[in-house]
Amino acid sequence: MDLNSKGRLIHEAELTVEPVKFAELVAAIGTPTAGETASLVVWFGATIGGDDKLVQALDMDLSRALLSGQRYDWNRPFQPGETVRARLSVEEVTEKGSNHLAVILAEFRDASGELIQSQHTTFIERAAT
Amino acid sequence: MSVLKQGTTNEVTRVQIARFAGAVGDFNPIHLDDAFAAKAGLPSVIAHGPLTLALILDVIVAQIGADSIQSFDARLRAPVFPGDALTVVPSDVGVEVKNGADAIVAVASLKLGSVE
Repeated sequence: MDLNSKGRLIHEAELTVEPVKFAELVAAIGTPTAGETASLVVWFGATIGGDDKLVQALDMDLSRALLSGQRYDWNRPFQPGETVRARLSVEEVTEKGSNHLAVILAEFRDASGELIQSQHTTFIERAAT
Repeated sequence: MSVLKQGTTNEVTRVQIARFAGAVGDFNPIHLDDAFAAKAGLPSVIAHGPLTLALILDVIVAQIGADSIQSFDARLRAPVFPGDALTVVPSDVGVEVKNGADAIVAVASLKLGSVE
């Protein structure tokens, strides 16, 4: 993992909360309250930019990497069909023993720039054996 | 967190994992390919971490509604496998989540309040 990648922009894009994808997420959760829950967790930071962009930005070995933490902060739920601006960046990269930790910040804003939700995703890259 | 009660998810299924992969575009073979998972030292594929978290959140949403949760900060402690049912147990600051073997797979703190 590149310990100098802190602050690096991974991806920035305008995205639509696709009703079809939203429905797929509801189906995956598969409960009576899945629609409500899906409105909170439409995306997560690691996938929005695609694995390649994330892996390249961090120089991370995906075969040794695991998701170790996730924080969601909501100002409001997502609405199916709405367009949002997503920005994904490297917030922190640290060493912990022989492992490396990276925190990715994903921010989602509406057309007026108001923050809808932020997500902090923590990856751990285990030491090579 | 006294506002919450203990709750349990349905068993995680392979179909559910595949559906989630398609919904979020995460096709990492560790979630879909047993042979790949075996090379990583796992007994089978594992659920996506965000799927695990979505299922935990769903237990909470079912009790208090999505509008009542302002933040959710989770640490994943162990992988979740097909067949696992997750028990969400209220703690002082949020929840602890256990699998069928009573092992903690995640802990999370919660901030509750009205979300517009």
